[in-house]
Amino acid sequence: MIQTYRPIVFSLVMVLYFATAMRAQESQSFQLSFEPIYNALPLQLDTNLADTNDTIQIETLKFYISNIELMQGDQVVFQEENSYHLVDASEKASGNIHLTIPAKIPFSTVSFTLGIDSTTNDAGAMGGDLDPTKGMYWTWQTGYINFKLEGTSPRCPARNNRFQFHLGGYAAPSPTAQKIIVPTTSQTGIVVQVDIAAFLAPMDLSKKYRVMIPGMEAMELSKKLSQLFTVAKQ
Amino acid sequence: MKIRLISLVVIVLVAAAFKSVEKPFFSVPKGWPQPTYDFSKNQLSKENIMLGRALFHDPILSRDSTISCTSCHSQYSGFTHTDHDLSHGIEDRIGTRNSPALMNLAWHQRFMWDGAIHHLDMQALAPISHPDEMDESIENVVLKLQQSPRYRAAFYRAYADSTITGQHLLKALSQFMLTFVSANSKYDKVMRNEAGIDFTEQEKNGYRLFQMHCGACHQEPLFTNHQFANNGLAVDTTLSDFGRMRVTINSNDSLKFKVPTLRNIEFTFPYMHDGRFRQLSQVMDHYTGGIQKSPTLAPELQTRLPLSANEKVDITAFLLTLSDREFLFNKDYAYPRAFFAPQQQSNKK
Repeated sequence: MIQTYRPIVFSLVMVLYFATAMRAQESQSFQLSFEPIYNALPLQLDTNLADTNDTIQIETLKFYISNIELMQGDQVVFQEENSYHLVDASEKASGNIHLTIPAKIPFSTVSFTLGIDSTTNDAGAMGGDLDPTKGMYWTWQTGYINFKLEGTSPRCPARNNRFQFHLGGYAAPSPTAQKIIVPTTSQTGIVVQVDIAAFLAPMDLSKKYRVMIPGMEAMELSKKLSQLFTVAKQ
Repeated sequence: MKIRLISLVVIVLVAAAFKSVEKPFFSVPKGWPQPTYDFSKNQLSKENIMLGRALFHDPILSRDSTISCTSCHSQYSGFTHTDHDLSHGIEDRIGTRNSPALMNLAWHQRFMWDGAIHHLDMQALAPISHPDEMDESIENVVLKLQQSPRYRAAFYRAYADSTITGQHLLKALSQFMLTFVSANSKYDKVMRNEAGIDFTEQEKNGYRLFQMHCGACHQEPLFTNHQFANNGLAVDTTLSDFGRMRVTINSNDSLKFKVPTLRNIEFTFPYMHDGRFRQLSQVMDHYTGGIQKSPTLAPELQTRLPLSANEKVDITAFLLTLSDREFLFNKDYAYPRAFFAPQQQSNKK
């Protein structure tokens, strides 16, 4: 009985295999964009920030986005390979991440990590956006800087009124990478806004203006970072 | 059939002959554990090792081209800084620690006296950027190398890519340093039962005492357990260096430093993280009478080591069997003259 059905079963399996393979080849693009803002306006570097009475200036804003996934409920429906991106506010294009995803997969949320996971931190010299020449790797202690924000404020008592936040560190007890999940109703792309005002406003720059080593402070500030990421109106 | 068999034998023989001619770039010495370095992510090649060797010897890594890796890690002293308690770098600036000897690095997972660096690839970033060492940045080193036809060609030979990146630069340095395997001391030859080599009675007794009193931390065959320990040194108040605590921010790690290997100890003086002891006899005296008690003192050192003067001499005699002259004078690590030789001018007009 089984013997006679074998060729039929075989061809059926083959047809199914090719059908799914064909479908998998159909793909579409999804653009995940990160837009730094300051109080609802696009962030301008090296200028007095709009919409404030203060004379705060931002000189540098760089952060890593990694492990991008598209999710439907708890299900991961797409996972970007080699998913490491350095977003640099001085290079607008660096904020636009193009994903090539299978066509017609359903998803309702986008998940990503702000920062670099511990495995990659311990994996030796990496290339591309992870190359240590990008200014996002600590030289005196192994580890990536996940989020770098530098600027000036008259309130800041440091030399040249400069504040410096280099947030990172991956080892226990103070890991800093943040998993962030945002909703999406679009299947072609979303813009995630990163509001730096929400980070600086609650901070007293006259007292807290420099964190550049891993530790509890870096961890606490990193937790706040995850709240800066919100999806722009679609 | 017969011809087939003969040709098969010939092929096998030829293959075997080639294999014996090509010395491997790295091999695990007999009886040693597997290395922790992941060679699959940085496969050794002749061209890449040569590139790393050139970089290791080239002061171009420092801001004003005065300091190379060899400035503080010279081969004949086991790749440390002979005679300097604290190493000096650019413009004679003095650092805060004794430069560590470099050998058998493929077995190490934590680098620096405090273990701040977690991967051999990333180690070089620290001396390159430290203001008292090379006072340079990796970004600028890459720019300088990119302007050198010699290095562009060497990176192309190593990576089939003449665009120099930080990753390629660091991996090439690792390749060279991974070849620093010291496993041909008298001790090693005795352990391998090599013909005609044996410990003297004094060395034998020293070895016995070493295993009893020192071997827990300075574990064979690498002569380190890769851990961090407080060995009871009094704090030097001019340095106030609390070691690993700076990295872990944990008071349980106060005054702990990496347990160094003892291989080639005859040549790696001065000793300890701050180079405070110039002679091995001072080290021995520390362990028998100089230990300072503190909450993080190593459990093995809670009571002073009960060693007589003669026994200390015997241990020292054993330690001298860890000298590996084949390693210290291996020409494969020397300044690569050919690489830096003036290049022939092309005949272009």
